[in-house]
Amino acid sequence: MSWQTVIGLELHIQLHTRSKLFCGSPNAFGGAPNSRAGEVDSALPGTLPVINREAVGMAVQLGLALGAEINRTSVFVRKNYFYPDLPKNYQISQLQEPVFGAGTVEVPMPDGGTLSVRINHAHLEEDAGRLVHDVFAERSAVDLNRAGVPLIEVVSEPDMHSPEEAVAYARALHRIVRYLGICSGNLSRGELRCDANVSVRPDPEAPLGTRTELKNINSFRFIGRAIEIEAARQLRILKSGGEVAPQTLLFDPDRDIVQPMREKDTESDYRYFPDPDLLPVYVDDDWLEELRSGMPAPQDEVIRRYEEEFGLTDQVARQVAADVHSMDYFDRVRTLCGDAALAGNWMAGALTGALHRDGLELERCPMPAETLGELLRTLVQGGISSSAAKKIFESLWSEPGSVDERIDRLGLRALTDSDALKDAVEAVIAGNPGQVEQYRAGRTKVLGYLIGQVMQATGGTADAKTVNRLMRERLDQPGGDPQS
Amino acid sequence: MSASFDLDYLAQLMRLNIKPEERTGIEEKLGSVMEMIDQVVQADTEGVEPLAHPLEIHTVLRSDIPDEPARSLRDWMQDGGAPETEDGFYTVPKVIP
Amino acid sequence: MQLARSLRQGETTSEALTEAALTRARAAQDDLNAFVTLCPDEALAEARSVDAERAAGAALGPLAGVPMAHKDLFCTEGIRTTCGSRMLDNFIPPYDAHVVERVKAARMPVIGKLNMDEFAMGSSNENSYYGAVHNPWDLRCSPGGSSGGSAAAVAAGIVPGATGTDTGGSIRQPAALCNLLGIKPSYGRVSRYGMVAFASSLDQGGVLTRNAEDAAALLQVIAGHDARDATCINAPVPDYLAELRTPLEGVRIGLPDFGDGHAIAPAYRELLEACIEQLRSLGAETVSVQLPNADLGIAIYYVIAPAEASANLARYDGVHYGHRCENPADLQDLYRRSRSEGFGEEVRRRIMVGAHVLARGFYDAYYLQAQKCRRLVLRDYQSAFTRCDVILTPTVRAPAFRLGEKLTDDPTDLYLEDLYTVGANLAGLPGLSMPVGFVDGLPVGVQLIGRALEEGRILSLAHRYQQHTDWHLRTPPGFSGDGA
Repeated sequence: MSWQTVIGLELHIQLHTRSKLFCGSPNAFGGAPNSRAGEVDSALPGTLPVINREAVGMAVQLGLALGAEINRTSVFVRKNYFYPDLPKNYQISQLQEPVFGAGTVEVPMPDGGTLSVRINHAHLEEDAGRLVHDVFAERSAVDLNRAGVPLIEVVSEPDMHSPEEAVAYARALHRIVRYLGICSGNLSRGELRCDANVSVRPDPEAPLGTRTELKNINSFRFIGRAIEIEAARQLRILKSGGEVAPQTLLFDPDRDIVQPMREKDTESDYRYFPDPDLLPVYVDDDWLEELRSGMPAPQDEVIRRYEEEFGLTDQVARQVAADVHSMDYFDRVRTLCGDAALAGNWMAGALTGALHRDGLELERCPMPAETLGELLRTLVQGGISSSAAKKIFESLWSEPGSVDERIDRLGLRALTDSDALKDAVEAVIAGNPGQVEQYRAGRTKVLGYLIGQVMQATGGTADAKTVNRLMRERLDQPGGDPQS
Repeated sequence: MSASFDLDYLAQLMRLNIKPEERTGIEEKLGSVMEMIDQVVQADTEGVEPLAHPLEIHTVLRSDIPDEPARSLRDWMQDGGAPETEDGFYTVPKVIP
Repeated sequence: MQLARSLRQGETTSEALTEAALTRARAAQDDLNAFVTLCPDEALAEARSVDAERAAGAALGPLAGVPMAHKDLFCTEGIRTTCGSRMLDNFIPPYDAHVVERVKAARMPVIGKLNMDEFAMGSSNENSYYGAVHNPWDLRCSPGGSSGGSAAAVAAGIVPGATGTDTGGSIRQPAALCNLLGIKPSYGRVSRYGMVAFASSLDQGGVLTRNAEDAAALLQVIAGHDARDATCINAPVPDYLAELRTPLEGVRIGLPDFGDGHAIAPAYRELLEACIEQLRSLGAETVSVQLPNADLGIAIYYVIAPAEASANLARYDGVHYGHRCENPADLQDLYRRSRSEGFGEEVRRRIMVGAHVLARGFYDAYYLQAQKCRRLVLRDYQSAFTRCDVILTPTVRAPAFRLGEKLTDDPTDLYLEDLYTVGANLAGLPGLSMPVGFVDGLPVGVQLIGRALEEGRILSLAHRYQQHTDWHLRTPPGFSGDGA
């Protein structure tokens, strides 16, 4: 027998809106417990949901990117179950008329091939809050900050047959939602979570085996590992003539095992029905067109254009074209400074470094594209040196302000005044007769030392190229040393 | 299915307790309601589309603008709005996940 | 409104009116039990501030300074809102319902919160945690429900007007039993935001007053669009007082033939005929219309309303607000005991019915089927309104019944109270009840149902009728309040 593992994934993707799905509470990670929960997302009596247009738009854009059938009319339903992180004790979700239907994800595989994974549908729903068990000894604690954050749940067909394929699919979808700018994709913050349905059958022609569901996996590595463990467990059972029980399992990464969830508190009958507080959502032609035209060109195309048109290296191009926010930022910096390669290098270098250091995403970047563009324009025009530009960047990062004002405050304006520079060159030549002699004797390597002396004397404000030119001119003067 | 129902199942779904001394009375009264609504089951609705809502229009959508300032309930819930809180959390008996 | 005129002409002050209303409310409380909470401090402060502004010559709205009261399911910031339930005995909302905001903006002092059937489930006001309300016309009788406190307070002359809500007849039936005008506007005319939900697709806020003119003035205050309720209609609100003057000539009144099953007492029938005759003499025409599915109304209602309620009331779980049981053993015990203690018998019964009709295996036969039947009812009205402009029916089957009389082993006895009124909720149409006389010394009413958003038309019919009759001027002996 050629045993086959069959895997379908449900990816829960938090949409990066500014406010929650059904009310104006801020959609942001963290914060003091219940500091981002208002009267609607805390389900106070009498409060009502109103759908966030942006969340629907993002979901539709994902559908368009996956070539899916967009349901022009979609319906929200109530999924009824009791749990303390769900303050209404029903979740507003979608069932029969979700935001989009069948589509496809083309998954690039490590061997260079492509795996087509069919999407069954995706529905828009609200996230639950968090029930925390490790804060207090005797109590579980409820934080509703996450309650009502928009989620799109993408349900695949059972088209994957190995942990590697499942991980590659999850990564591909992760890349797509990041690129579209609809999700920041931070798995450690739960912005993308995965449920995996796993079954095993004796051969690829056999009917599907009984499946189990692995819930709430929050890293790519764990997706692979959990599926591997579960498939092996099912295989052992089946090979020994046993039967797999349909159940819901949790992966425990610390103990590297899967174990059944406690069923006691879970609901067996969700009693779905259309939410009478919300009428059907309709995506009309104009809106659909607006959403379509607001989407970026395919990522591979953009990367190629960046390399060919702007001379970005492949690595920089991929980094800049990571998502729409980054591309938009790049376009603004590039236009302002007039040097696309420089803009790309700075984004991939200093900017990315600073964002990482502070744990920020580009959307929360303290430095507007206009500021970086202005800084680089000054650099291109020789108004500041490269090293000065880095100092000014760091200064503006921690204390936003105007580029001009900061150059002056830090005293980093480039010495472009030739007379002043000439004086500095003269002083260095006068102070280093030995090196001057070596140079003239043909040991031109000392030039670097002499230039360095000028740079030091001018506190790094001099433009190195100009100093280089002036120094060569002076040393190569046929008249030799004026003092001699 | 006329008027058949499982009281314990319904009580579990709605998280209610049924006291033994109330059981018969509740069952009887529920039974008469179930019998009454059975008229609906019998009605001829061949070819009729369900009406989920009296307003047969599409919903109005909200712009993605966060409330400024944020209307947090943190103070309210800690000042007696919630039955039990600690450090800004709502708390419940320990749940084993 | 007579009181508003007196205020404008400087014959009295808001403080005096409010103080008098509070005095009457306190004096009548033992007899009527109409109020759950009185708010003398807030009401008098508002009254004094209105008086000061009026004295200073400020421009004030037409009802500024006139005292009123709210049914206790409209959330009032800082003032407890109980819904007649032990579950919310300690609930002090941090926000105002839209209706409450509008009344505040109209500068009407709110003297208190009115008793009601628990979560608006009932037709006798006997299902209140705070005890039954008594009918001012006969203290041994029910005022009807669920807006029984509203009806009793206005009928007793404590306040000239009060808010109510109507899911299956909860404004119109108590209005009929207390000799008042009660109007349930079209679904979506008044925002449901902050109005504690019973059945979201049926609930609608409205008003109870002595006459059509007062109803028009008060409805003007609370009607209109609210972006926080996705089911609130965004259409201009007409000038209801101006519409009262619309002539009756040519208005076609549809008279449905309900068949023998709906027989009302001959004395009531005579009053109904007299009312129709009066309207004819004022220029209206009558035509007969058919509402063939009217008999299904109650059954449809008792599938849909409990279904929606089973989800709407799930949020009362002892975790986030409201009643919590003592020393819960675990989470399930917390849920079950909090809810069993917090909810009264009728509420518990209805949510279990709701769970049943939505449960797996029953949904299609009950809930979906009820939705189909609901369309049949809507079609009946649509078809009738091609032949007429207004439909006239009895409001109730009989005058007020004795308290306790319908607390039998069969709750459906009381459910039949909604027989004539429930159709307007199922179809989302505006309906009002107006006084048309007395049967055995107790008032009865006639119901007028209009096309969607045609509140003005049914109010104008009632107004014309009231200009030529004096039923609405009769007040219950022993309650000679001057609140009219």
